[in-house]
Amino acid sequence: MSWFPQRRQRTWLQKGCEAILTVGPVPKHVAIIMDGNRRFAVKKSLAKCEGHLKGFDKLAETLEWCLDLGISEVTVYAFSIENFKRSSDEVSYLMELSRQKFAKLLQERDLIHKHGVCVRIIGDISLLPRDLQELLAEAVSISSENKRAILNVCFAYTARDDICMAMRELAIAVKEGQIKNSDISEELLEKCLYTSHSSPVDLLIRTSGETRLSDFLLWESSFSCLAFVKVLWPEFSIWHLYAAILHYQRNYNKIQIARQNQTIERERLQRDSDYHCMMEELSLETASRDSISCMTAPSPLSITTEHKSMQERVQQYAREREKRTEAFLSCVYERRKQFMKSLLPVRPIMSAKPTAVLTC
Amino acid sequence: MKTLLLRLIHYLISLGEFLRYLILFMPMQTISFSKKSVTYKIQSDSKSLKKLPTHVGFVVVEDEFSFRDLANLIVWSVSLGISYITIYDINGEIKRNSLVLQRNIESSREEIMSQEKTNYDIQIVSSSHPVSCQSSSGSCKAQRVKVHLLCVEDSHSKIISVAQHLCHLVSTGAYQVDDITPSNVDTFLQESLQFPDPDLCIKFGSVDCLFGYLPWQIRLTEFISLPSHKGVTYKSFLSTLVQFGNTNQRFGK
Repeated sequence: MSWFPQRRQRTWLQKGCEAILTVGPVPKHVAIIMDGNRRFAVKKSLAKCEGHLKGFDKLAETLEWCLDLGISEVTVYAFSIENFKRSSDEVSYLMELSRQKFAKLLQERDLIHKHGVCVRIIGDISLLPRDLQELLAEAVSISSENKRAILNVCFAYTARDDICMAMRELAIAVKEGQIKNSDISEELLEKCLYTSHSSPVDLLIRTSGETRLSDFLLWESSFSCLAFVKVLWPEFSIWHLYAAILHYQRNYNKIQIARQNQTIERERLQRDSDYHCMMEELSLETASRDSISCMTAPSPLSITTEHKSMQERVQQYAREREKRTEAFLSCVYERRKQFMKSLLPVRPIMSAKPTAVLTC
Repeated sequence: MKTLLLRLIHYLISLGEFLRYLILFMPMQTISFSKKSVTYKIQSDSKSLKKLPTHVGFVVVEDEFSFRDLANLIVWSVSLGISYITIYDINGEIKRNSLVLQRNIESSREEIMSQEKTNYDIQIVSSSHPVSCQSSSGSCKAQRVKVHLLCVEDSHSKIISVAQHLCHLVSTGAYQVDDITPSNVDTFLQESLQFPDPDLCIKFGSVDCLFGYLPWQIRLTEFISLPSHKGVTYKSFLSTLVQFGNTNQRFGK
């Protein structure tokens, strides 16, 4: 089945529900754990592979529903690093399925551009077979300019691995002196994660009735609405999606308040840290100077000017810190981009195909 | 018009939820059983459970707190044999009132565990109170249980402290970059927080969000929701443990 299935006419009831739902807040970013493909296969006495295939078809369908509702970013958990532990038959089948599906996606590039879908891969794809890596990289590169909707596919991903990768980036930069150890903050680590270019996850859906996160977006989903749906993934319907959005709307206000408080708190911590770092620098400076000049009682005037200059110094320090971290982040992003580029197959331009002279 | 309809739908859902709560939970609260039967039940219940969590987390996402009910939850968990307990609320309201909680635990354990022979040493730990308050029953053979009170400051920022520590180690050459692996980071975090990953997390309140509860540690945690911690009964607490006992984790396989 194609990534962009033939549009099915929707019933007046669905249209009505959609119109009513979209009056309220609609999540911008939905993350989905597509669980229950194998159990579905067992239930319907199909082969395991059939279950996975049905799961993919459901994904294509769900993406269409999301686009219609105005959900502009969808993240799906396609393959976890832990899934490599499954039987080698199943793993190789899943790899083959992904190969076929991404090859299909590359064939459908006109449709990708028509729908304006940008595909991103989240995870350590160097763990995958080389040919699959190349396919993924090509899918990312041809769609990178699209803006209307974003599909993040988590492939060879676990959240803990993602956090560790970010820590490694930071550790290298600290070692090389690109950033200071004190520059490491929640915000900076977040910007080193694979999901750094995504908007915050608003709604996380897990099907099949399991109520775990299973190492999926642990950091990012702290302030997301969680929806655990009972049905198996291939049985997921548009009504379950509507119900999940209703659930999101019921929780919307409280989560929004918590998020705002969180941002305020982060800013406060950052200011504190800037102040302390600046004071440390200052004390180092004065320690070298103090050995010469003796202390004199400061006049009230000098206190106010000193206070003012303190504020300026903190701001100065913050500006320098921002400059440092920005340079560091652009390095990290550039390196990741280059890695993806290095995977692209070296191939002559498509139009330069050999002409069909031979057949004549 | 549409806005009104949507609002109507939301009101209807709220009404439905409220009625469900009334029907399912209110009857339990009216039934009060004698103290003796409770102790007896806890002992036999802990044997009948399929599996018992080592670490249970209580996440309270409500605006008002009932320390008496939290104390009951702690004492029930301890009597069942759970060794680690964390209590989380985003703003740290429970953490600030650890002494109130302490007093409530004293009275609650007197009520619930009075007939029991075994002694438990319930220790309250929170980062704002470095000196932990103890509720010990005097005997040195007592089994020690730690109750950690957490708030949002103990979640993401703990990962950052570990990141800073690791970066420092790498820059001094004491550690290799490739050694930053999930298992090593996990060891560092467990050392600093002094508890294993929670197996079960019971969330109290109507909002389905974790509000920053231990982002690193909840990898395999089962989440179970209860509508409120106020007036929570032993029966509904036990039902979450039974539900936990029936889950089957595949660990990616």
